[in-house]
Amino acid sequence: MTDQQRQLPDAASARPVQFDRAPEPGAATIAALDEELRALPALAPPPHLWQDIRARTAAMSDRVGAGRPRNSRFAPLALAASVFATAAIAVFVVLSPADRGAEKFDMTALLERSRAVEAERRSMPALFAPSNVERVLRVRIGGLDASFNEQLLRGADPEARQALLLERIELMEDLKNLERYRHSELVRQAVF
Amino acid sequence: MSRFSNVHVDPVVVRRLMRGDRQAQETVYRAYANPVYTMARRILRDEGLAEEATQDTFVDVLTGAASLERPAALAGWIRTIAVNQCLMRLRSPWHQRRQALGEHERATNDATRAIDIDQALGRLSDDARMVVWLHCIEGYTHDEIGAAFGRTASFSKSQLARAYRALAAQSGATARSGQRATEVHQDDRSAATVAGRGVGAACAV
Repeated sequence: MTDQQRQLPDAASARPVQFDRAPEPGAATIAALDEELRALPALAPPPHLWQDIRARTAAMSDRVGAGRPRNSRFAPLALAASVFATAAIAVFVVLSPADRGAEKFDMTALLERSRAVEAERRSMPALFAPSNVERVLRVRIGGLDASFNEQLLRGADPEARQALLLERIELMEDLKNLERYRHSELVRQAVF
Repeated sequence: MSRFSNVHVDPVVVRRLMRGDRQAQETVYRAYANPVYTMARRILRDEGLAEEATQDTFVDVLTGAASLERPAALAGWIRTIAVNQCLMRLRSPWHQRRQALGEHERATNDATRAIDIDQALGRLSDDARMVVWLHCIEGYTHDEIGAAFGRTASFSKSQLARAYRALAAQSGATARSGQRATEVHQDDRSAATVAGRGVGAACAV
């Protein structure tokens, strides 16, 4: 750890101070603050961090690979079931084009909905050690955010953005429900 | 300052990362470890939490790289994950309780003396600190910050304005800025003009 890192005051020693009565800083002051903020040196993580990350990802892939061997007896049955499900979905999609055409979404409403779901999720107490499913959902949401921002910059067509937003809302709903379930489980365990 | 936008990783390496190549994973980690850790450390103000956030960010990056749609989006994607990791920790009740205790213990501190910008940053509220960092260092727009917090752009603007007032009052930048003011005026950027565009405009990246 460098001297610079040691000197950083941590959150426990930092006292949020109200300065609402302080005078409005002028442009020169803001420019000076901006300059000072950008001049703050970069901090390097401890060297062991990469080994820790590597160990965690290796353990995760081991868990995935070490699943129960599949029972080949049920393989044809599973295949038939998935073919049937795909066919059923295809029939449903083909037979209801009118409904799909009528499904026009208002972009502002979608953004509002996305924000509302996110706010709802953030209002719940944060949980550490997310499950693999939660992790995958978060990664996917992060990817969607990046794609969405990129499309906004490129001025891509609204339909593609709507599709991204809809997917984001669905994933965020799933994540929220998972976290809510896990939180209630934790509370239940603590109580009983 | 280590910023995400300053980092460049070869698209070939990113494609290898997306396929799960171990060498590429390490290259990407080495390239982005400093920006991620610096952001986490400055925002969370706690070494342990910053390490944890950095670790979780890269575990998400390495395990989810296959879902990345375009190599060019890597920096933005990693940054989004890192920001979410920081936000999650700031929202944690444990973190908030710890902060409240620290506040009580240090109630006798002299908050009016001049301190450096990093200490001043540490004394801002969690939300204000995050807004300042995202806006001034990472170049987020007010809309993007509002979305990250699940709030509106106005929330970001008001947090930033308050944060600047607090930073200026604490860090002594007002005194130092006197010397720089002449330069700013010479550049035809009068204080009134810039202030008229709002405090965020002076800092927009």
